[in-house]
Amino acid sequence: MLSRYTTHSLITAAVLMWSAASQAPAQQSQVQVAYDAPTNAQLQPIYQRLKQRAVLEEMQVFLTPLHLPRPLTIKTAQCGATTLQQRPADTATVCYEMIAAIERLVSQRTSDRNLAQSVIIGAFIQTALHETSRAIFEILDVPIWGRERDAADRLAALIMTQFGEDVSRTAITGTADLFMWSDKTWTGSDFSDTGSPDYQRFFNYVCIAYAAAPLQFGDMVDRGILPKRRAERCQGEYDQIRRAFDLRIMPYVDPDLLIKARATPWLNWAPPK
Amino acid sequence: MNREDIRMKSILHAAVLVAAMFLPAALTNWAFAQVAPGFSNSKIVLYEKEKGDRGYWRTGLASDSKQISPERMALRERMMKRRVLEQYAEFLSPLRLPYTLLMIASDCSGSEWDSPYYDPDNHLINMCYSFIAEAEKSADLLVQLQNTQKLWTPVSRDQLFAGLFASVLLHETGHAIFDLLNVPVFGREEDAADFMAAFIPLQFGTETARTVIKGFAYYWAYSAAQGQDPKLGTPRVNPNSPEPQCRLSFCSFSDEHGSASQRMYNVICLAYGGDPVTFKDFVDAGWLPQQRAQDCTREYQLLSAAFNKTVLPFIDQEQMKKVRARTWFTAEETKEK
Repeated sequence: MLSRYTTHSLITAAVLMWSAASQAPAQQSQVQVAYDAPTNAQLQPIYQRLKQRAVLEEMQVFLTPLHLPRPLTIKTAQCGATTLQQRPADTATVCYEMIAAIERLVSQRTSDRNLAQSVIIGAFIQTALHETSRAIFEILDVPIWGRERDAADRLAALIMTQFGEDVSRTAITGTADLFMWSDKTWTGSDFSDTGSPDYQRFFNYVCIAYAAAPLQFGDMVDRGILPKRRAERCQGEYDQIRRAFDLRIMPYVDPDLLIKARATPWLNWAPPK
Repeated sequence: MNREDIRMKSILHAAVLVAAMFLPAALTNWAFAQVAPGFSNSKIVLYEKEKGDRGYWRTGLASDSKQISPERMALRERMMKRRVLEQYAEFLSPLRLPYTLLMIASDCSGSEWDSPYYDPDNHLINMCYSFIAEAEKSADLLVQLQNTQKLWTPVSRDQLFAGLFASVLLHETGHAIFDLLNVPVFGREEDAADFMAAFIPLQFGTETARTVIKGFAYYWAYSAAQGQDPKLGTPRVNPNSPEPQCRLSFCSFSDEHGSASQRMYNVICLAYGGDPVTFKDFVDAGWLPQQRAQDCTREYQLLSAAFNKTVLPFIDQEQMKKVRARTWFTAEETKEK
């Protein structure tokens, strides 16, 4: 639904290619990456695909401007669940099970291969940035007011909106579609979870996107996607996470490398095979 | 009951309605109204509309608003007698604020559903009489329910009222602190303000902590029991409203506040994480599922670290000792049942 309204190019675009051979030198990054081989044979194809596309290497280059006091590891792994209960220190883990669950959900909801592919890529970016944000909080000892996982979502959303409308469109739209398609019903003690319902997360991402790119996402209120009452607060929400980023994370970002990173074309759309 | 349900529901979202109003006069006639010696703070000011009103306005915010009803006037008298504004200013006296914080009690927009709020344009906390009237009624209702249905841990009427009122005030103070101290807020600000409302009373001993946490938890537990958590398919917007409608089936999840249940669970979890002995009965009574309870120490530590980094440097420690040595609630207000 959101896709239809905001990203007509998804219809024409096809397979998203990760431009791993980016200009910035990965060796400067304090981010280490690893693809752990799964023991579950059913997860092998996911593992192989991610490795082939070198998605983590691109994340590594993308995060080059970040100068951390100690290394951050981003990895894909078999977790036994969609997320890890015990997160290893300084490590962002994207679970193969999560990607499998995303792929399953997407295949139930759309038969459009291009749309499916876009949502999967967007959802992967969201998952990786969410987990990376949590690791950054940990490494930089960032003070967190509010729920930590919402904070990671807000930081992930902010990052998504800082690299132009192509990245923003892919990442935000994929994320929003995924959360919109959530099949979990929340009642009673479900709300005791430390994480927020996918439907709340949907609005948290969409709100940041709406404030960051009014041209791109500006029709969401008219289209009945973002209630006006929430929309009126989005600029404030965006300014707040931006200010928090400037105060607590920007001091660890090399401004020159950031310019290079922003000048890099991150997501290249290739014609359908 | 229905009437109460509607009222309770409305309190949740009324806060912002009056925030955009202008203050009626230039901010020159600031007043300290009989703040206790040794507890004044030049940056926390009770703002008088009329000379001698001690910050308890006899009107709403609008310059043409009428004098409040005799009923509200009686409530105002009760507040003045309890020295609510003065004591709250005294309670906040250790804060070293870079900008002056104004505090008033008023009839706000004149609606019966106004709720206390922080106005960042004027650096003003406004305690709306209508909310206090509703909090009194809510406390009566909840104690009545508790007496007949035994839904929750025991609570007295005065404890419930004082705790509910204090938690709302602390929540708004959270917004004020985030704004005035330029605190980086990475999570959702509404949750963060609830976190402040939980964290502060936990630093003031068992009785104070239990009164505030119980007032907060009862209120939101009741709201949740009344079906106020978001649900699929719930229309959020009045169908007669000219505003664009939300067409998604999950629009009721769009609030920037957490849901009633989430707010209750968050605050009980922080209380239990900060003081497992004092709040053990909440977990034993099933207020918090075990799965959440086991992570509460970590959640509290995260909050404590955030407070220590971003707010503690602005607290005068000598003054804080004096504030902590004082008793802020009356004996009736900390009575458990």
